[in-house]
Amino acid sequence: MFTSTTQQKRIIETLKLSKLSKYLDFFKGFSRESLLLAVHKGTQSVAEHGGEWNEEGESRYWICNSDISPDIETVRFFLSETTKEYLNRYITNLKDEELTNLYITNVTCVDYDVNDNSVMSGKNDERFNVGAYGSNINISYENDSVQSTNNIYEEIAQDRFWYMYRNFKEWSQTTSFPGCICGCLASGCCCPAGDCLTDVCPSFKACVEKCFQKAKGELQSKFDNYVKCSYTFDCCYIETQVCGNVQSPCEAWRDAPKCNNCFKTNPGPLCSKNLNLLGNDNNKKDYYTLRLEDECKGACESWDEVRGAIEGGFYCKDKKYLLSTEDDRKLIFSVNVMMNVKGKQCEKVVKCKGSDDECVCNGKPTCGVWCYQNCAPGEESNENPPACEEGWKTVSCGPCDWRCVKLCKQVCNSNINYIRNVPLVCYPCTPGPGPTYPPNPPPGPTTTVEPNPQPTWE
Amino acid sequence: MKGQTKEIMDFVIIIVGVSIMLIMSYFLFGSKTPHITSISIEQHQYARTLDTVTNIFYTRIPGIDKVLAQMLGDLIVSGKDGIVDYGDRYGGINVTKIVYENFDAYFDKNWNLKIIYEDKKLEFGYSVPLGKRTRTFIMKLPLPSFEGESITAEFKNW
Repeated sequence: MFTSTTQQKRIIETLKLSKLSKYLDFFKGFSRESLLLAVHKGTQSVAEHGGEWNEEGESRYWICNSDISPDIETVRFFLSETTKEYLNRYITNLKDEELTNLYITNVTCVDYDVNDNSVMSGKNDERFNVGAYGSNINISYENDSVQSTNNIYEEIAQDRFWYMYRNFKEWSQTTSFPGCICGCLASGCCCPAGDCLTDVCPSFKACVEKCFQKAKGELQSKFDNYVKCSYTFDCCYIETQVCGNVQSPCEAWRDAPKCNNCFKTNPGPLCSKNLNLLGNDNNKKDYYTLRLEDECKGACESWDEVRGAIEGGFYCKDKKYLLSTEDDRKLIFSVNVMMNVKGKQCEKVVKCKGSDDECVCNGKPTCGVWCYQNCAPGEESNENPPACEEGWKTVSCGPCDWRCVKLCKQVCNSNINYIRNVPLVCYPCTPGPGPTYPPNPPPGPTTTVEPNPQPTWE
Repeated sequence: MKGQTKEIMDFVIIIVGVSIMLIMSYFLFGSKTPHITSISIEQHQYARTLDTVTNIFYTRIPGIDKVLAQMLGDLIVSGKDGIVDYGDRYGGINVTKIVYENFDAYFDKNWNLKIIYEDKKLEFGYSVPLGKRTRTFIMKLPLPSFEGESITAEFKNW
């Protein structure tokens, strides 16, 4: 009789534990499904912001004058943090339910099990593994309880986050976009400063639009037919400065007043650290010194320093699979781009025209003023010209700019050396293979420049 | 005579004793054993129900590569007329049909699944018969949701 009673108890006990064990499996299944949904939501959110977003909710920039796209480890980090947050919402809500027999703790780590090779080889294009760790489950009933770790390792299929990332990454490293925008500076000559999304500078705007379209085409070509790409041109600012102190056709413009979010939201690491497009203040040379090195041919020059700042975004929608999320279930990968550049543009060079007596510069620039002239203009002024030494002639190079010019036969020839700024001196022409310097230079010049090493003679 | 009477008395006592033991045995063993059997069977049935319900989180539907729990969640949140759009690769999937195929395979036509979510009420399966023993499992199902929502579903089989 007693044996029978014990057996009954044992059977009932076994059944209860079996039941608890099955409940445990059920809640592990719930966690597993929650992880899948959290991954879908996480990848969708991170993709929408190009990998990460800052405290203000602004999206990551992938091009700030040059490629600054996030690497896989960076994206993994943000994906993991986002997914963990979403997953723990499910777990927390489950705890809040009045399931008094269930104790479940939050996940402390979500790990996307991908690496450079697997992503960039395309292995993770459509499926990848995600693990969630650190959670525990305890289910009790009367005096019995079962407990277990709630670690999950799940294959996520039909989510092309890494496919989108891979192609955007390849695109950002090879796109013609930065160079194309640099090329647009030339179309900004003579434009007034202002918002170029309006009609301030239609030529520049049109050029930038073409760059966006071209870059979009390059991006689109990387994807299959399920993906459609587009772009937004969000911000445009342009200004010009006649004869500005810029050195190259395109270099970073570090203090653009508008369209400069890249700098504001991610000060060091994102943009400034990676700004490697041409210009570098440390290498800056004195402009006029540079000019004088090759100015013995006699020319008048004018240029604009054109400064352009633009912002926009590229985004691609994947329609192959729809995610298990609420609202819009498409995976949209979106990245921001910004270019803040300036360059010496709209250069105009007019050769000096010589006469028997003097070196002259003529021609009119289309806008601005002549920035530099290395030959003496022909027009003289009546306003109190300073006296020059005998054999030298006083000429006006502009208001209050009087210069002494030596009249010689080989006007504007390369053996005539000039010195920038008042007074400009033309040394006497002397026969022979090289230039000869006057034993007593005329008053005024304080700096000399190197002569042309191979002067020519008529 | 006296000896005969004693013999009869002893016999009666033995008969009564055996009868009492038989009656006690009947109540001790005869009634309990079927009870345990009945509990075991019922628990087995309930375990089968639990297994089937738990499997909606684990078993991927062939050809679609998704688990039924995911499809049910999508149906509740974004489905229309039992159909869920899964993009250009798969198009619209008739989730209702898959739910029926799945549970019919386990319980023939002896099951019912009821989900109430906000103003939606989804019911699959067949009418619950009256007067028949029914196993009920009330479960939580995570939904595609920013807030991490889950809903309660009631599964019955008989």
